[in-house]
Amino acid sequence: MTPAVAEAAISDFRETFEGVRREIAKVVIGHERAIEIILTAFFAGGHVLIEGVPGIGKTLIVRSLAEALNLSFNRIQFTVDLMPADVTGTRIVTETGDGRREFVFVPGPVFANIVLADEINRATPKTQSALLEAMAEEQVTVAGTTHRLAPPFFVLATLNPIEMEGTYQLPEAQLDRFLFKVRLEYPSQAELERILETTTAADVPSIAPVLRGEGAAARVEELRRLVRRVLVAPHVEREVAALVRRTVPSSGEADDTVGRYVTYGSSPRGGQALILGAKVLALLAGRPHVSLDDVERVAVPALRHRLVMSFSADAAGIDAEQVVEGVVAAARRRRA
Amino acid sequence: MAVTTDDAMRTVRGQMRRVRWRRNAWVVQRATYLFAALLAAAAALLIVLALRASEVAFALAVCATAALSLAAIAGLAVGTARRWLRKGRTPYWIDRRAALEGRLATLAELADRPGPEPVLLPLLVEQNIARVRTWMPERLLPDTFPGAASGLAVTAVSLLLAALFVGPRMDLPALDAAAGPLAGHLARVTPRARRGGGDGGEPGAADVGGIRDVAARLQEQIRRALWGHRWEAVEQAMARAAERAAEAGTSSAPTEADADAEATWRIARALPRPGAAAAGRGDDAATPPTRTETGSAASPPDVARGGDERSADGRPARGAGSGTDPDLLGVASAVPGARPTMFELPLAARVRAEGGSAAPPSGDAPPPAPDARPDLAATQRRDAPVLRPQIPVAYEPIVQRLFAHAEVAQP
Repeated sequence: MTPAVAEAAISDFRETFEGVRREIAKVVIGHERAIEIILTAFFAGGHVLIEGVPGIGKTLIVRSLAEALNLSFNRIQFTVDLMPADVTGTRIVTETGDGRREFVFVPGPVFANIVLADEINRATPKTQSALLEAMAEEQVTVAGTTHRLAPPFFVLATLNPIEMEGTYQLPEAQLDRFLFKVRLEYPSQAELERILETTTAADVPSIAPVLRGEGAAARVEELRRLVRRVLVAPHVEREVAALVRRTVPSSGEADDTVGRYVTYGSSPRGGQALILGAKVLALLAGRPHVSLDDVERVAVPALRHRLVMSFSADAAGIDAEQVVEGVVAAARRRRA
Repeated sequence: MAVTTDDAMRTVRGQMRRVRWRRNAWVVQRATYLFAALLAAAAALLIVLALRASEVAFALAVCATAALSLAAIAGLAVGTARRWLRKGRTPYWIDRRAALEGRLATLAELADRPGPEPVLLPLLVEQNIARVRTWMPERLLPDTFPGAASGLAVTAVSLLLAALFVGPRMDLPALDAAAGPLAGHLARVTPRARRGGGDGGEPGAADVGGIRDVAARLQEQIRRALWGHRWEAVEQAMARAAERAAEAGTSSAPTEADADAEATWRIARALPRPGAAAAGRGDDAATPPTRTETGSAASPPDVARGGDERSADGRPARGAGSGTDPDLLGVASAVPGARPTMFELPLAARVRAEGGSAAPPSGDAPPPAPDARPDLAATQRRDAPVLRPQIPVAYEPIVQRLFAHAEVAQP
């Protein structure tokens, strides 16, 4: 790839990213940072866990994303009686034209490009696992038959931080499969006023697809391949590895705060999330390579759901986000 | 025309090398100037303190200055090592300094990596080449001369020179026989007496005493170097006073010894300072005594003693008037061998008069006696060497008796 072609590809990526962000911003008021993180995860090929109280636009964001990208979208409302087959699909007996009966696989709602798993913690672990397997493998296996999910496959799962009664907390191993965790904050006064104005008016703004036609999925895959090609220097990889290890209390490199408040640190998937997210941000900055600033910018969403906090942290009111920010700040001081 | 990775790396590496040299030259200069500034400032401080502070204060100052200097030198070494630009660290340093957002560091690392060339590497190469001008050595490091450090060095050296210039012109410190320089010198020049008095015999005080001795020797050397003859006169008087005290068997400084030392100290204070001597009398304190109009030699201490010293019975004090100074030859040593093997015998009579000069002539001068041996006048020797012959110490009592003032010798 010549420099000119590479530059054009990066420019195309930036335009697409900015276009999608612009379209989503038409209907979603506020949450700019959250939308950027969600889009970053989308183009990095990961999945996102969104935490937020009901009614602040989680579903709207996901649906807007699907519309802007011109991709298929399904929503699954997770409940306690939801079965794995309700997610992945099942085989039913049908009668063929010649009168014979046979099992036919009916795809579940997971067979879409963008899937919103609403309140994922309300389903049983068995059902959760069905979705999480699809997320990890991008395929589902029903009755011994494996069915590939059409790329791009992107899952946005939401967690309701209140009403914890009757929920099944996601195990840490399953949380680890989400590339980022985004926290949607309650809108500010100005944002709330704008939300009220736009959602109660006669004309509701609509989203124009940024990627048009049947080739939208292929275009997204092309952009994802470009993300994977972004250069990462060994010194950046070293820094990311050190960052991840410093969140692990037993690594011997963790500082006192981590040792006191963290029970289990990030897995290597945390490092992968840092690099992939940083690659997207590098392209957005028009660079063919990752810088340490890119890594720092995605550190909190990439690592905060991978730390298992101790009881001392709960007692002291310290959350994972603060610990990650401390680790990043310490790394920055060491480099200076 | 597309730039190949090899060409780009050649350009980039050459420029990195130039940046590194320029930076390290600056670091070395800075370290040198700061080191010089540190040494000069410490030396200036010690010189001033050596001339003005008491022995104890100077010892404390020496310890503090040494500790601070060592800490500063260690800090300087660490700082220099941190600023030193190593080859492997150069791309990162340039990257950060020129705000290249990791472009140079990434290129430096990936260009040498074996295997197929990454797809986006040519773009990275092109972006680096486009930014080469932003980190040219002259642009990245406009200063080739560490101005602040050199200014500091110049200031410190100026302080040192000022101390060296002003020091010899400073007055001797005020004499306090109990705790001042005299007490310190008495203690130092009579180490046996000090040990006998139990002063230095405390357990655990050996190190402190050692440091104090070193500091005292340093202070003495500085004073001797800067004050020269003035300080030597004080030291000799103090040594004599200390020996008298030791011989008298008294632990405390005897009054007579103190009086002698104090008198000598006052003489030394009044001695001409370097520079002032040349401008005033045209004579240096270390030169032989000047000859007066009456033909007698008057040494600077005699001139400086003034006319206000009289004994209680109204007789002229020692050295007063035109007679022979009773202590002309110094005090006879009770223990031969404890003193130097030779002593200096000034043959010219020291004259004492009001106003510090020879008494005015009265009446007509007597006619000169006829020259009994006019044939010797042609080959007469110069008298200067004869004025201060060196006499063996063993002859001192005899010389004392021969040259003693009649009134003093036979009261």
